[in-house]
Amino acid sequence: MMRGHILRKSRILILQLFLASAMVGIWEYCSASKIVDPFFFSRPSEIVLRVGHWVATGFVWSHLLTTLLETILSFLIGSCLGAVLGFALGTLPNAAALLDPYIRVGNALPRVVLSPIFLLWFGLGIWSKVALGVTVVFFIVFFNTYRGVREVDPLLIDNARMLGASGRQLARHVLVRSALTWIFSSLHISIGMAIVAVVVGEYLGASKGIGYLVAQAEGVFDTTGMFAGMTVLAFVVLLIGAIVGRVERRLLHWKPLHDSLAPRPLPPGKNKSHGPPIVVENSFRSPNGDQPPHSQVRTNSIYRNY
Amino acid sequence: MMSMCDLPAVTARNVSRAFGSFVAIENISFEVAARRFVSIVGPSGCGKSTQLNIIAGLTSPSEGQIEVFGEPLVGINRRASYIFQRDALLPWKTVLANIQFGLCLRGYNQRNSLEKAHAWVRRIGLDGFGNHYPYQLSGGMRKRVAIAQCWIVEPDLVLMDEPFSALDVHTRLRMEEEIMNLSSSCNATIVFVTHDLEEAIALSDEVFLLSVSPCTRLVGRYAIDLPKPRNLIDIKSNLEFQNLYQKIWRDLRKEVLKDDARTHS
Repeated sequence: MMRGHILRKSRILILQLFLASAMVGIWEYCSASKIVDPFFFSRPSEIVLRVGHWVATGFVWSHLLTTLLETILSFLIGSCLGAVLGFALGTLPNAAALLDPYIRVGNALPRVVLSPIFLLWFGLGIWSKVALGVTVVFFIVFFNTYRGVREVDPLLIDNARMLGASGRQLARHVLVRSALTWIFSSLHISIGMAIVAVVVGEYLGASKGIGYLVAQAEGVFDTTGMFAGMTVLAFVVLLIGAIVGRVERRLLHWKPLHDSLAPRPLPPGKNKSHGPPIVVENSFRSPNGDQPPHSQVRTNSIYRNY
Repeated sequence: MMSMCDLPAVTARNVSRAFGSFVAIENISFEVAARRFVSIVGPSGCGKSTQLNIIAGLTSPSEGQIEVFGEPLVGINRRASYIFQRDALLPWKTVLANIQFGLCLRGYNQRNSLEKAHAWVRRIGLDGFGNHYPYQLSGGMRKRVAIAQCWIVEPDLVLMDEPFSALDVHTRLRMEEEIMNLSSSCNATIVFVTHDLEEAIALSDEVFLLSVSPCTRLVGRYAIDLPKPRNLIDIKSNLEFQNLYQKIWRDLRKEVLKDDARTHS
């Protein structure tokens, strides 16, 4: 079974590589034979050369580092704020009801329009991009924390209380853990969205960063430069995705794997389990963490008796 | 003077519970003597679980009062452990950590409680599974962990809400045997909710029969005087067992038929 699985995976990988080279080949051919205008579409060979040049001369590194630094800062700050507020509102239904419309307005606002004001406030340096990234990450983490706290299985709470948990112990052993599950499984989305926000911010006004490179190239109609910027960004995002995937797997090692390709590895303990009681996240769901908190404000047995 | 042990483990005095206009339980009074194994049976949806939750302190009665070993129950019942119908293990804790959980909440030191947890892992036959997570276990194994989780805190009262209804027949029989052994080897009082009359008679010292809902009442109490220890398979062919079964089933049937009549009219 294991061998068949590896065979299948490698066959898919070969097909994937074939598909990629076919697409690039067609693009190259069309540009070279002027079927499409290379001025607008550039050529893969030139893009590769440009990226190579950037890397070889070291030109791209400082821009890349700036973008990464902005992403990490906005992710950290946004996550902390979102987790704290999400947990607070998750355990205080009245405060949640009070702040509900404001949070919904904040979340409904397209974040791009905040970019000019952040530019005014924080200048062209990294902090205006960090601020933009924070507004994006904050809401994702906030909604996930909130849901993690509100939608914890009432049975787990009852069980912990029967075993003697005080309010604080309940928060620590059950509510925080449940919220962390949701936060961890939204890592992909929140980091991905942080990169998007940061690059958009750079594009709209910056002195450094990948978004700035693309904007510069656009200014002189250098499509090769634009595509080169995109290529670099794509590779970085892929790399970060792989790292986050590993981190997530480590943090959520108590959850069964749900990989569309891999059959679930049989646990050493044989036998089928009835599946986890935990909601499995769909990675294609809306980036802003689903519903407004409003729809989840309902009485839950968490709150009775204390 | 009455000693502590002579006090009934649970006394219900005119307990009623309404959810809005729906009266789930109406005016139920009973006593469960200490160290007894009592089963509560009744037609499905008749409020068995509500009754158990009231004893656990998870649901408060609308009227009436529960006394636990002579003291009125306020809030959570600290003398009781609860084994739920569904899985209630913390999915992010290993088997050992789950078993240890109750001790850890009570502030036991880590070494002491880990030692106890290891002993329980052996006792429930899960050697080598201590560091597994609940999703890696079968339903029966998870149930055993839940049993250990509840029993490790040495409760005076164990409440069980159809704990084995989701298990297959064989696993279920093994679990019932384990519960029998556990209950005879300790001094805990057990209140066991089930819809399975055979299970109730085979395990219990006494069976309580609840009427159909709404306004569920206690319609019968049957002493089960079969000798202990019991063999759960052989006992079903015992004549006395069958007589008891016939007798209780006649009463239970009436309630079930009433329920049918109501839903079909």
